[in-house]
Amino acid sequence: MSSEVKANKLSPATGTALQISDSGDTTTIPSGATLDVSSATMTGFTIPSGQTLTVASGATIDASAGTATGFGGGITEADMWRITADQTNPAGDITANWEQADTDGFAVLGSGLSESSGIFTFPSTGYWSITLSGMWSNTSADERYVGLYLYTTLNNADYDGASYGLGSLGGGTSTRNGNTPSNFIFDVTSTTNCKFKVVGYCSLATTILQGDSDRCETCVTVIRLGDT
Amino acid sequence: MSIGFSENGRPRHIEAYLITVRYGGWFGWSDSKNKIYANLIVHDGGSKPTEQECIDGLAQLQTDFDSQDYARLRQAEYPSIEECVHAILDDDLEALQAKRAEVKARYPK
Repeated sequence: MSSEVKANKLSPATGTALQISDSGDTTTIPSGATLDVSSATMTGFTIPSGQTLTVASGATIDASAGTATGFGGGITEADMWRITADQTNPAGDITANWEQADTDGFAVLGSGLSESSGIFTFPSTGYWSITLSGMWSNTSADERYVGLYLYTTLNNADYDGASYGLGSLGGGTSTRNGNTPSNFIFDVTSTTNCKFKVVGYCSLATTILQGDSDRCETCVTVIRLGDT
Repeated sequence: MSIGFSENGRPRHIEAYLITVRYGGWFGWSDSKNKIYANLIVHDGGSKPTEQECIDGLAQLQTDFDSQDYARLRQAEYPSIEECVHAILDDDLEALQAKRAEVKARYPK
């Protein structure tokens, strides 16, 4: 048996609460009909399992005044570190003079990395993009090769070369300059075991790996891409 | 360029001297935004140069750099390797040598 109630407004008989149907019932807004709650407040809204919430073309999900959780894909961590002083003829691990960038508008996003004697530790697991950039110069001679390497460990002990940036310096009549960029995506499954360090090499004793505290010359940029 | 050198490569700060003392990242600054001698620190356990050594060392580097001004100026104006090759192939070495002599005369030692 079916029946139809025609009314322009439903109001509670007493109090301020109005209930539509009972637990276990299904209330259907049929195809072509519109449930307009644009001026109202919805609470306790749940998309049932197996159902899809569609955001139509031209529509917007605005969470600017609230908190949106559980959404994947957003960038939550970004950090930059640099060495603060020049050094000649680096021959191995770059262990000293690292600082987190702090000038010209830089601000760390999220917690940021920590560093101790050139060993970098991540604040959380996830896929991390690491960009390494070495700035080199030689004021007296052409340089056959310069290299800045990213070494990673998966057990907090054994390091292996993960990404290499190589170059040479030449062509100038006074200072020869060059840059050695390299990139790596590191699946950090453990913040205790997955770490990285920077290693530098060149062929001439007069070649300089440049560092500065007012700008990023030799630096590392890390961005967390997503969950592991 | 970093704080140690001017744009043309001339040493201008004691950091330019310090990087000649030992290799690698042996030194640093307790306040890297204020690179004065009082803030110089040593990472490798080695000796720390005196302030006078830093002053004298920088001055010597500047003297050495300035003494090579003529060479840098000459090199910038000498015929290129390509021009030299063409001069050899075209049997025109006299003109090439004349140009080199003119550059040398303009920038004497």
